[in-house]
Amino acid sequence: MAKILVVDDEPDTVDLVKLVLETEGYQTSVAYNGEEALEMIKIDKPDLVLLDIMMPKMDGWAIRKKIIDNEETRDIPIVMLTAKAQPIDKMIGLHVIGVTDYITKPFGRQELIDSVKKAIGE
Amino acid sequence: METSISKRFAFAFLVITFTSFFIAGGMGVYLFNNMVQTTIQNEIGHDLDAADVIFQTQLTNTEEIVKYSSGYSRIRDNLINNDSAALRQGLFDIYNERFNDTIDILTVTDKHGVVIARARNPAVFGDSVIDNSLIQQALTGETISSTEIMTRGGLLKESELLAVQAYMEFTPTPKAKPRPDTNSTSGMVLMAATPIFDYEGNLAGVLYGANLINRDFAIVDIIKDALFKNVEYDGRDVGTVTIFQEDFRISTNVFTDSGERAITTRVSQEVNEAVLERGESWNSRAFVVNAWYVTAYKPIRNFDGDIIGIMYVGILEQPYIDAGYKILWAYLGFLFLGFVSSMFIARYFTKSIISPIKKLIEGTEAIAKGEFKGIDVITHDEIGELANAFNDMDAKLQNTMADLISSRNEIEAIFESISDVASAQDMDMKITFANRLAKDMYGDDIIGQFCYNVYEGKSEVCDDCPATSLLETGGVVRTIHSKYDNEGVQSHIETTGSPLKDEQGNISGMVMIRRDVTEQKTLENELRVSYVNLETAYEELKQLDKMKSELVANISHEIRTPLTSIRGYTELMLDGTLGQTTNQQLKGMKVVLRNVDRLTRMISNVLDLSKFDQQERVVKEVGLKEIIKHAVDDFENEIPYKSIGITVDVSDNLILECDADALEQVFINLLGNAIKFTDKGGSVSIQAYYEDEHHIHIEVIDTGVGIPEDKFELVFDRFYQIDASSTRKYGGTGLGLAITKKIVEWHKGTIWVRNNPNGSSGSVFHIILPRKHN
Repeated sequence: MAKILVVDDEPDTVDLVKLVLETEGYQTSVAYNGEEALEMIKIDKPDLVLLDIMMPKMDGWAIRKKIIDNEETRDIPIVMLTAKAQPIDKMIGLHVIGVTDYITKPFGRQELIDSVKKAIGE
Repeated sequence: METSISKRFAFAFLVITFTSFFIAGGMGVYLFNNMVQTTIQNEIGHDLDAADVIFQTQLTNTEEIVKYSSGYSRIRDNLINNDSAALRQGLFDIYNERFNDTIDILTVTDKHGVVIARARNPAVFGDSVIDNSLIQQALTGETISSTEIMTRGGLLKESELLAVQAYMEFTPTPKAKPRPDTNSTSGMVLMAATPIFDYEGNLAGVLYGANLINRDFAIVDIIKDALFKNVEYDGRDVGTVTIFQEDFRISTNVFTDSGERAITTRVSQEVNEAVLERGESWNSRAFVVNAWYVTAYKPIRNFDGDIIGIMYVGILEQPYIDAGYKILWAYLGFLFLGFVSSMFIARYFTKSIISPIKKLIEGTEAIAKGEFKGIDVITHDEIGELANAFNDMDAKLQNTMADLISSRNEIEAIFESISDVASAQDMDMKITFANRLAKDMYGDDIIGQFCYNVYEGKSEVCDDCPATSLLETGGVVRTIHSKYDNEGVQSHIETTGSPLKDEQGNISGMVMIRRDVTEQKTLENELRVSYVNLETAYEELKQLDKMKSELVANISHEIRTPLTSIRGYTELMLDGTLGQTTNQQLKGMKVVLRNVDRLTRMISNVLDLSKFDQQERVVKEVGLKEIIKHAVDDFENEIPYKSIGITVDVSDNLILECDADALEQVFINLLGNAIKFTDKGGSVSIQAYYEDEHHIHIEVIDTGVGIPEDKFELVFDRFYQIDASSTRKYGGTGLGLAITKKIVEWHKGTIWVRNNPNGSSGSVFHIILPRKHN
């Protein structure tokens, strides 16, 4: 099964996402900030990164930049999982920056699962 | 000069007449005098010549008598026969018989010049007269005559009477050349001598005779009669003739004042020197004895050529002078007649010129009085042209005056209707006009007073007088100054000055309008303070609004995070992932989920509303149908579920300038509402059409529950729900229509709602949008 890295500074959210994905049978790892996330990606080599945007120190976009900048991790799909729910934010994420998917909080279980599946290519 | 034209004309005529008459008269008099002088002088010259001829005739006469008497045999025979006694007797007899009244002296000499017989004095003989040139000449055999002087001795020998007749004591005469002696004893005679021959033709002797001229007036009277025909003038002979011996009159018909012939008087020195000394003729005007004469003098010479006397002819000057005067008087008479006729002619011409001029003057005076009636002058000359020009001017002036008066009235009315103090000042700051208000406030007598005195109570021009800058700029000047009244209350006066310009554009004064702006000023100050306060408040509010927007954004994000957990776990519970749940629990979780959804939408809407003002909007021309289509597409999933029919009746050609995304939001909201409040089987339709050339009208019609009439306005308020139950039933946020209205109004459009007129239920949302964004 695919390995998914969940990055969010909010433990409750991390737990929920982890629960949902594991229920679906995915292997998950978690990180609560950018540094951890980048470390985990290096160690774990996940198949997908679920990335929150508004985090202290390094925000989601900065983390993504690091991932993209690294040749080894460049091809890992990234799905943004964020409370920035304005249509304009979503549009910028999807079409200007070019992340794989953009899910706004509060998301539905099915919505998350559909997005993950699609991103991994199942 | 206060002289009328008619007087000047008359004067000019007189001057012309005077001048020409004087010039002509002067010329005439001069020419006349000249001519008369010349003529008289010439005439007198001729007269003198004629007198000389007559004088010579007298001489010849004497010679004839002598010649004739020499033929008497009692003289000739006795002489030839040397019978002296018989000769003396014979001569005496012949003389007394025949010649005693025609000749004064008749004497015979022998051939040696010795006197043999004297007719008047037979006792004296034997003396020689050979000294006499005439005798000598006769002794040569020639008859001869000439004027000669005989000495007293000679005269005494001939006749004692003759010596007495010849003697003259000079009468003292002014202007005469002084001479040492006071009398003359010799006499002037006309003398002739003729030879007497014997039968053989040998000279036997000489007969001579003479006539004494002294005191003998026959000759001068004969001459006078011949020349002047005894014409008298004023008791005087016009012509006079005089014979002078040397320089004294010996025979004349010039009379003294006492009526005696003026013999023994002497000729003037001037004539004396010219004629006697230089032997010239003298021809000129001269004062003779007692009157002025035009005279001519010439010398009388004896046989030897010596000057022994003067022949004089004179014409009394007075007749000519009087004739001159007569002509002059006649001339003056004509001059006077000329004056009079000049006056009449001048009067006539003047009248013909003056009367139209008078009419012109009357016309001008009428204009001055403001009457425009023209004048009636019909002449075909310059005056007539002037009159025509005058009438043209009159008409134009009338129009101009009418214009002026009406514009003046207009301006006055404007002035009077101004609710401020308005007045006009001249360059000396004296008021020349004031409106009613000014007079009411400052008195009716302010005209002619200084404005600073009237308005400001000052004695000299105000420091900040608008006139100063007015004169510099030539434009309208407005100043505000404050002044204090007697009680120290400050008031503010706004003065507006504008220049008054004369017809050449020079500033000749100004119009000043004074307005008390104290109240305005106070209000202005208050307003300024209020404005500053308001601005501060506005800035604070803006800051607050920005903070609010940021707060809303943050809050909405912050809320989304916990909502994620709530929603996620509820769903996990609902699908049993977290273990079995009772029906009751499931029901509750569904409520939780529904409210999470509602809360999520509400957060989105609040954020939309607060962010709307801060967003950059992109306005471009788009088709309305396209926008509506996008909006309808959003509801694709819900429509089949509710089985509602959606009709879009919008033509492709509806184009407008708008922010397409925002407008799409409008339709999403309206459609969302329509669908939400419409029950299964209902219908929603969108129609759009041109309201007019510049506006598009859009209607969103549903068959839903409708809106009570008294809520038509309220539905657009924030967080307004028609009733609490609908919230529960339809899950609205209470912000959709507020956002919608905001967007429409941003597009300068209007939105309102009415009940569906076609059906029993449902509502219609009307939107009118301008086609052009600006």
